[in-house]
Amino acid sequence: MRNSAHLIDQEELMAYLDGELPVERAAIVASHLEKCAECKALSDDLRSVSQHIAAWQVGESSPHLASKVMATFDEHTNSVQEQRGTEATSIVLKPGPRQLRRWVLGLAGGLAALVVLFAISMPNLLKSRQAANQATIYAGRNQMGEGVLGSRLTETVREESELPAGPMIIRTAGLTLITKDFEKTRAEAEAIIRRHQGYSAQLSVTGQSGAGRALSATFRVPANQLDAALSELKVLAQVDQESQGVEEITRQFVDLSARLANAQNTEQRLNELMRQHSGKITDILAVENEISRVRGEIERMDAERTNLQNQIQYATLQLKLSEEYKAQIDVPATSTGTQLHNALVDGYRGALDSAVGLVVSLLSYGPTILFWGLLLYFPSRLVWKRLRLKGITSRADA
Amino acid sequence: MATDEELILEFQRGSSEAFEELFRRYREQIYGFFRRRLDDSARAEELAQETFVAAIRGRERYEPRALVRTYLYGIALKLLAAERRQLARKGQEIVSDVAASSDPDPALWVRQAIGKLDVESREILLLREYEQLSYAEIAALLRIPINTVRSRLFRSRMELKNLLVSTNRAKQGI
Repeated sequence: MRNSAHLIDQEELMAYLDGELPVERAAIVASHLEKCAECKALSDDLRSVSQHIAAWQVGESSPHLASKVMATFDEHTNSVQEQRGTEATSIVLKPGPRQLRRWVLGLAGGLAALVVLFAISMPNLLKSRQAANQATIYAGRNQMGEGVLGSRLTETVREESELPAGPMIIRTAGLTLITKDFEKTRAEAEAIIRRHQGYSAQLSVTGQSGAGRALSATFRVPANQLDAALSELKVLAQVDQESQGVEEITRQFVDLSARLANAQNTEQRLNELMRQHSGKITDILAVENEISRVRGEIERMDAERTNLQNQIQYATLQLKLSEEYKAQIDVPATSTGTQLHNALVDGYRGALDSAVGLVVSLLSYGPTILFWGLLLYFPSRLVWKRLRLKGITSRADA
Repeated sequence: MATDEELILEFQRGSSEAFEELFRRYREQIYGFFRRRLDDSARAEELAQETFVAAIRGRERYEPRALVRTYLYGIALKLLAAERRQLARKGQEIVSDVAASSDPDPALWVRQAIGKLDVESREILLLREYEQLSYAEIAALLRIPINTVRSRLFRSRMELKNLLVSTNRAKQGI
């Protein structure tokens, strides 16, 4: 569909109107659109079609839709709760013959599941126990090692069961704007970010001759202010692209918190071990090394958790701002006086350069020329004399 | 204000308030989706209801990678495809041409013109113009390349433009 007389594809023009082009390409299309009457007509046609299409409005749904959907929601929620309730209360009901059989089967199933669970977890438990024993061998207190293990397991189970009240979400957004007044839009964008308690994490402005300026910035905005900030930014200039994303990190955060609590617990136990220890110096050094390693782990995880919390509280907003480029008329040529002055200076420099060049050439090649001149002078003279003598004798003979 | 994605995650945890808010945001959009594609408004409402019911029953299947509106329109498109198959078996059209003389609707020509497009081009146009989905979202929902979305959308709009011009000429008696 590319028109041979145009660099802009018709479909590309439509994509531009729909806000589907990358910023660089959109700037080219916008610039072309200002100059090309044919493309302007096509864009008017496309806009007109969209306006006509928008005229087809359908009425609102009936209130029954809401009541039916909410009734289904309640019904579904109740049935889920009933299922859970049935499972919980079935144990306390007096069982009949069929119920008794189901009860026995259920109990047998539960026991079988326990056996399987025990069989699966036993090797891991043994491994953990061995590791704990190794840690306590330094102090010669095996029983305390078992205490550490038991405590760590209990702590892990307790932490994993503690989920945050709501989902933990990291929000990101990207916005690309095209503006005619670059400085004004930039100042307003920064004011909006400040007004919403945000800050600039990174900002760069680039500008090349023959193209408009471009700003690329990463702002951090409180997550609950992101939508309001985006709405205000979108009115500043023409929106070329917009994107939003979310990442749920609830599980990651809970896991990290549990591991951090376990590490803190381990550190506490190792410190107790150190206080009560009265063994060899090598054992003390080994426990100290272990404490140092665990402390490093705690600090790393603590920093990671703080970073996650920061990412949740502050959404990341990538803003790209491009200036619509307008070609400038060239600067007028310099005056005649300046041109004459420049010519005189150039002439003087040229004369000086040539004189210096001649001297340099003579100094460079003079000795060589002198040497060869002296060397060839006498043979040449001899040859010349002989030729001359030969000429005289031949004329005398004649 | 919570985003759609935050709301659906709350909803997955059983929050009825989150679901009510999501329903309030998408109720008319989903109803409009079916209403523009079906002649029967009661059936459109039933299918809108089924869309939300499917979202309630399958709430565990939603993953935060997708936008909520893409997720909901995905369900709606599947229900619409099933409805089309059912109507095709009965030998009925989905969007029939509206009687030109009896309907005073100012957007009559739009409905007529859209009814003349082939099914896939019509779907792309509707998703873009009324549901305001991006080319990428349409491509993902219909499982076609993004360039196909763009070229068909352009062709549909050009067809509508030609119809608009001919309608205007007919009105002016040229």
